[in-house]
Amino acid sequence: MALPTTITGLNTASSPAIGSFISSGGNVYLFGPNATGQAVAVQKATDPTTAFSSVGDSGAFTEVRWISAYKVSDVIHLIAADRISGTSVTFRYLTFNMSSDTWVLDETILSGLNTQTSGAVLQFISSVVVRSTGEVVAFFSGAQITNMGNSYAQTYCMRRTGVNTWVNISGGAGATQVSAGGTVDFTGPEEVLGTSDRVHFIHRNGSTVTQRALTSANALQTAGTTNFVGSPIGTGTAIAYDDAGTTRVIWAAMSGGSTAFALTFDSGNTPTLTQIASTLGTSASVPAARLFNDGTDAWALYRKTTDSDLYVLKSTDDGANWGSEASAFTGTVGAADINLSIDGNIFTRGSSVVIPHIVNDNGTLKYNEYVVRTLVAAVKQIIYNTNQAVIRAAYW
Amino acid sequence: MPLVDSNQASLWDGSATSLYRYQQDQLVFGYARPVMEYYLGNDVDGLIAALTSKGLQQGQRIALIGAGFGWVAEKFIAAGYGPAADGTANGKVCAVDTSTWIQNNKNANAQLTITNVDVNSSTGRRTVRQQFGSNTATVDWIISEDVLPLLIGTGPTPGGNNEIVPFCQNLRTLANVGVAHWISCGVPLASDPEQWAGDPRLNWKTLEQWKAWCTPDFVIARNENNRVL
Repeated sequence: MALPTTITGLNTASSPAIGSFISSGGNVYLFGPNATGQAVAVQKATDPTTAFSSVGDSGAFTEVRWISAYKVSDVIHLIAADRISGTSVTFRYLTFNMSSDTWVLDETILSGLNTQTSGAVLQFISSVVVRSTGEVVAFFSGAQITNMGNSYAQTYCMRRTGVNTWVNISGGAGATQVSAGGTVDFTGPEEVLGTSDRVHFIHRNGSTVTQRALTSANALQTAGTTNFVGSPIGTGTAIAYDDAGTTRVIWAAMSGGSTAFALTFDSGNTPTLTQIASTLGTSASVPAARLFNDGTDAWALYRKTTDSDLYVLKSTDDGANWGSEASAFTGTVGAADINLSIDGNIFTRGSSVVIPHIVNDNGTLKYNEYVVRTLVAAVKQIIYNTNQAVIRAAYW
Repeated sequence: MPLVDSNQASLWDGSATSLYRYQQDQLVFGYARPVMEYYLGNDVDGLIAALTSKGLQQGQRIALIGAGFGWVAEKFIAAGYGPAADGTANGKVCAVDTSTWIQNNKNANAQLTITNVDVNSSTGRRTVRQQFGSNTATVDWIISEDVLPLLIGTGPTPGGNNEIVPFCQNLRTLANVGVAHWISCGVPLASDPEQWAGDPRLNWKTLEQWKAWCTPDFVIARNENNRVL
């Protein structure tokens, strides 16, 4: 069978699909709200070119609204927003083990949060990373602040220091507010893991994008901001990767629906933010570009308004410049964040290094891959030394 | 009589009808100094930038009307616009608020003197001048802090009996350089753009509508990155 592969049993009306991820056993997994939207579902494919099948659902939710994920070996760490009511959101932390095909943890991070913006729009977006110590850091839209008669959305972080133990940056109860407050709506929380377990929080208000770093010692650093031309819209996505000892970070969002922007910086306590305009395709649109890294280069996957197809671009200089556009998927992809999966990354499947993605093609969910490169078939390389012969399989 | 009675504790104390409410874990704060920074955020930096774009300079005298506990005045002083008014010609920044709740709770929440006078009266305006040294001291800038949304005045343009126009006129008699109104402007409900989000007791208008009411004063949208007209 050839890609794309149709996926059934997921309801991505209010959250994009998550992934995909490949396990140590070579199976491909993806996540999303189940058909009723009342649990997080996981599906698995031993051969994603043929079919995905349900592995099982998480515990029950009232209404799954947004899911974020982070992969550590065979464990997928997820945060999912549960819409309890029009003024109440609960964020839950889940883990799924791909080696045993089991849901493991299901913890409440915070509940009863009214996350509404000043226009009374409930916020559900979260982001998750796992430090080298195993500590999980959650970044999410939390309790609004009522300020002179209206209320404004804010972002918060929490750390997981033990089973069912979520604390603020100081180790105490409750969350730590990351956003500045004031009469400002801060939305679109996205975080990445930087150098030495530093966590970078990125959120935005109006036309301003803000970054704050949380050091490995859990000291929240001074915010740095940059202004976009027009307001960033849609969900901003980010990646971080090691480049010969420097952790590069790229964040992408759309501005005004017609132009993509990227923000780049090197991991540090107060990094210098560099705005890269007119990249990722000038006719791209919501959903914002999804970013990937293949160990060397950065890749962006995005939709163009002109034909509703998906395209990719590659950057060999950490986001400063992007190369020639290539087609990744031909179909009818709607202009909404929910139509393109998030939080996946490039993996090697068989002899192909691929960008996996789940796309809503005119109402039908499909799994697809963009082949970054094809590996030469494995050959046996014989290495001799003075005492023994080692037979090693290698890919070129 | 303004739309709400700012003397009432329920307007400030973090209760369900409070205009200020901040929840931290299981604790709920009203308008209180421990969470001052969360209420201000970076708003005052933007206000100062907006005013400097209209001619505000360090060394000029500034009176902040409806200053609450004087937190914004503190930020002005920290930004180099001080010192605080002290009854002499040396002072540059004066915080004014008539709310009895503010006056009764200022000891725990204010670091500056909060002058308790009504600028709608000539006596009150004279007292403001006295904070800068004499009955005839000049005051360069008068800045109202989210006072307008508390005042009566319906519609997008001035009309009918209202409290807005007289208030603005009284501020102009006090200002030597300019009058500016810092305003949390109306935000349409996303689900029904014909309706305002926010406390229905308050006077919500767009910045453009406030400008129509307050011309020639400057109006600054606090919740729109301090956009100024």
